[in-house]
Amino acid sequence: MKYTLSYLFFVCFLFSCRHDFEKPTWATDVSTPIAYTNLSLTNIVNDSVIQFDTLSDNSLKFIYQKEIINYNFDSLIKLKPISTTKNVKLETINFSNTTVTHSITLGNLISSIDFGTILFADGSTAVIPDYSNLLNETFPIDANEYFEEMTFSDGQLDLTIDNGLPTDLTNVIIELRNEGETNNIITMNIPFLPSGESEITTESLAGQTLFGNLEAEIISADIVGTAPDPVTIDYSDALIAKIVIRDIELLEGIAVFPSQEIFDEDTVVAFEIGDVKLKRVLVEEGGVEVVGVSTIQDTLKIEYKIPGATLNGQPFEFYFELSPAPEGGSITETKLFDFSGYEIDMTGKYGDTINTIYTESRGWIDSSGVVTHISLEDSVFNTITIKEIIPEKAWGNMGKDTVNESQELDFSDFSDFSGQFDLEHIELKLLTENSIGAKADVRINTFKSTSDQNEIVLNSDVLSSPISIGSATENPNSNPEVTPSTSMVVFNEVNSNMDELIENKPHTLGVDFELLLNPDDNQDDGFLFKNYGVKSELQIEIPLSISGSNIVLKDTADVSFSIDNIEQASFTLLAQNSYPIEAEIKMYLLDQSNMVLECLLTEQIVQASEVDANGKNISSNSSELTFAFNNISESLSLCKKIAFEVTLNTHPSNQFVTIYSNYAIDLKLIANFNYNVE
Amino acid sequence: MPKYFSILFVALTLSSYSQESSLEFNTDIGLFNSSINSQLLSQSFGFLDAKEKSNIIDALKAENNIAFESNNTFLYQNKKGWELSISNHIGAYATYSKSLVELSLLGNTPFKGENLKLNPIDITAFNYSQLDFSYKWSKKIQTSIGLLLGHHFLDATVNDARFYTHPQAAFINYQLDYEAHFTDTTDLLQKPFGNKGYGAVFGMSYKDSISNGEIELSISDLGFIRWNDKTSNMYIESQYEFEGINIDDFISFSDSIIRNKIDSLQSDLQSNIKESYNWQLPTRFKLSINQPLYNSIIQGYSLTIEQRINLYDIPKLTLEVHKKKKKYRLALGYHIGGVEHNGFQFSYLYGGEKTHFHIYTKQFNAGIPSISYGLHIGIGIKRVFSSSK
Repeated sequence: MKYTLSYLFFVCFLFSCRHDFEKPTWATDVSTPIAYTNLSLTNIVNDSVIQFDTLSDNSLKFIYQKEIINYNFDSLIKLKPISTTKNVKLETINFSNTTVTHSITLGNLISSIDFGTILFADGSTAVIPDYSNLLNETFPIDANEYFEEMTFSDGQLDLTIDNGLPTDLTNVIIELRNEGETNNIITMNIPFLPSGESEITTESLAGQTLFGNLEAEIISADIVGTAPDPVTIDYSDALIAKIVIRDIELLEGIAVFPSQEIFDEDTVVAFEIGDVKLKRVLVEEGGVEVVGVSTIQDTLKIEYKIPGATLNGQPFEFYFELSPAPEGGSITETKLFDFSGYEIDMTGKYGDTINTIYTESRGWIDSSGVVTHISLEDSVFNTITIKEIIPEKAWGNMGKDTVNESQELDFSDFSDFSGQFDLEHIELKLLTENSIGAKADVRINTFKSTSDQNEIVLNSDVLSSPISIGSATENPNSNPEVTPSTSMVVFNEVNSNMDELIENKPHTLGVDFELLLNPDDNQDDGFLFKNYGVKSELQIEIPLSISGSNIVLKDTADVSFSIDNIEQASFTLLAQNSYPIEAEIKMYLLDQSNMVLECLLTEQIVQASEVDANGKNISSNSSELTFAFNNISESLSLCKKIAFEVTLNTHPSNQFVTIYSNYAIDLKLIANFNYNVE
Repeated sequence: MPKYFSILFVALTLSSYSQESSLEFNTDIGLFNSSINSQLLSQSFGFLDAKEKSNIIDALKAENNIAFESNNTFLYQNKKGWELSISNHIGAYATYSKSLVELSLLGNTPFKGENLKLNPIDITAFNYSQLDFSYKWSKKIQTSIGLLLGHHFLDATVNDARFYTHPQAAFINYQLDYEAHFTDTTDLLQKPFGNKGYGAVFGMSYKDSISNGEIELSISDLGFIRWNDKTSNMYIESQYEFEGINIDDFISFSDSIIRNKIDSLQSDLQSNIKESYNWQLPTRFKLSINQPLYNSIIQGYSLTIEQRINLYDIPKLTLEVHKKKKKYRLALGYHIGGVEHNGFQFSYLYGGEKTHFHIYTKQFNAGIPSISYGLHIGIGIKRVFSSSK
């Protein structure tokens, strides 16, 4: 037993002395592909600016195209906002005549006599005796239905006394005045008024003030009597006083506003748009803004119409109401009415003018029957603004216009390389497309190629005369709605020195040109549609038959790496090249401030393909390029950019080689690194 | 677990009136590997240089094992021939290929142009508890049945794994066919004995005399555990050739592109289905022959052949010699096969009148680092209940 325990103790002791545990780590050699691609000229660059086209023999043609002129609708026609303001005051408002009557019946008179109704029963026949001072009374005349108070700048008051009694009257004296006042407005004195006759007196109201509560006083009216002849006693027979207020010109008052028209006008709005003569426009954006200001304490109604603006056969019109102004104040309201989509006739009311919109406007008040304060100072300001019209389409004479322009076209894609190359053939086309319903002339004043070293100007007889382009044709209700007129001018190494301009490796191409629109100014049936204008495009076509040496291309790519636990590493680039161009590749790892962290160099090159006597590819060549890192961890962790420098040489040298569409280069990037496993 | 103890307690109470019944506790724990000895292992800490990596690789066979076992058992034996036991079994067994280690230690660069076969790669790990009842039908035959409570489980088998790197590393290709099943491990530490499955187990032994000796043939752990419906099940058959990221703009890539690709591949390789899974226990077959020797030094020897389905690629063969002296019995043996490296084993048994004590190890050469391939220790204590006089 003791031996066994000793043994167990020994085993425990042995293992208690083991090494402190230290996590095992080791380095592994890893090789892995990272990325691969197939590069060919036809898919590496194929955008709106640079393209490659395949010719009949499957060789490639390089096409560079860039727009140099693009003038469209907005730059030629602007219909600026125009406002008209209507100011209407109440002195021009007409009040209708006001008539108030008051009757004194025979029945009233008989009842005022002692035993009158017995002596002179209604319907009886009797002799009416003479009476003095029987008709002596003051009676109210209520005109509040029409006004509470009116001060007149002008007007007439007619007082008519109609004797409907069966007896003649003498010494009739009647006075009319505002209730409770002593000053009479009018006094009427009639010495004799036969039965069945009437008498009228007129008084000017200029400067007078009438209240709704008037009173009339019969100072005297003697009854002549009918003796000896008896007459039929009819209690409804009456002496009638009628007051008519007419030809009112109000200075101020508190009255019921009468229904009437405030304004009714035709307005012609003429646009200043230079020598453009528009007959019609289709509005893309536009509208009418109305600002109404009123001190009238009643609702003002406004109706606006542009008869020449139609949408689906309906004219443009709108109606709105300006609410009553507060007492002693005014009200302002603004409304905007959109007429986008309307087609507007710009030839005026009678179709005999241009650039003109004919409008109709009417404002009125419907009497509300409510007594309100009225003053000669009350007014209506009505401002109507036709907002800026952006036409979608315009018809007429587009006017004569000249545009001078200089442009610098970026050509830097082709200047970032050194070395020499020679082009077998080159062609520059200037394609001009006119989509305006007017003729256009384009004159190129200067075309030049600018590199760091040289500036070469294009020389060609073609430039001596302007490029003339005819008017476009409108296709109503068709798609496309405009058929442009086109023109093409070609420059090549035969009619110009264009090859020198490109071989100059320009960073910019400069063009100075003049565009004359409607040079003859005689096309009245022209048109201009939005997004249709004058475009001019530069096209450079170079069949890829080149010879070059030491052409250096440089480019920089933004990258981001997060590399841990890697010590030694290299990149292997596998290339399968069918281009007859050999390439040396250098890579520079740059930090954020473009400082070189590491330069990756290799002694190997991407081998050019083998070509036959005609310069055509026989077989592609495989190449393996190895780029070793010096300090992978630090370099890649700080690396934010990789600068590539590729030196190209056509092969065989000093011979034109043709690039075909089936040429490509397969590239595969492989990372070889020593990875520490922890 | 408490309910099992309750059952055990009742059984013990009932047996207190019986004669020569016994209560026994056995525990053993061991860590084994078939190829790396202690000496080499002790040199494999910190940074491994090329020589150390080479030593590890040289030590490996084409197929290698590493295993961990822990078993704890309470056993009550009744003199009438029935037994009741409660036990817990934790095991983890892994098989890995030499080429997998080579690829891990050296990387793929040295193997460009070479088709690496990475399988076999197998991992089986389990933790379950068992309540067993056995009955001795005769002197020769004994059977047992048991209930199992599954706690945690992992079983992964790679049927085929191949890795190829193009001679210029222009592409990397792998083929992978594997199957894996594992229980939810989110509560592995919080609830190591959580309930994640139920099962049943059966066992049987036959014992007979041959010549002057004895032969015993047994089958145990014939059963299954049905793991619950939160078990993850993966059936992956994947083949992929990576030739880099195809990019239109060759110079506008970053490592994030590659990371995204790797994440995508990982996602494909980790897709799983959650459903219940029936796991067959690693059934154990055992043939044991004991033969006495009438020698003053050695009083007997035994030969044991043991096979565990799905764990042992080759059966484990053990030869032991026994020495008896009064109340002690010593056994020294040598084993080959199984998941362990060949080696010696030793046991010591003290058999008192009431108490028996047993200590043993399957890694008797653990004290010699150059030939030590693991650690193992087992202890057993048995209390015999005599009849009252």
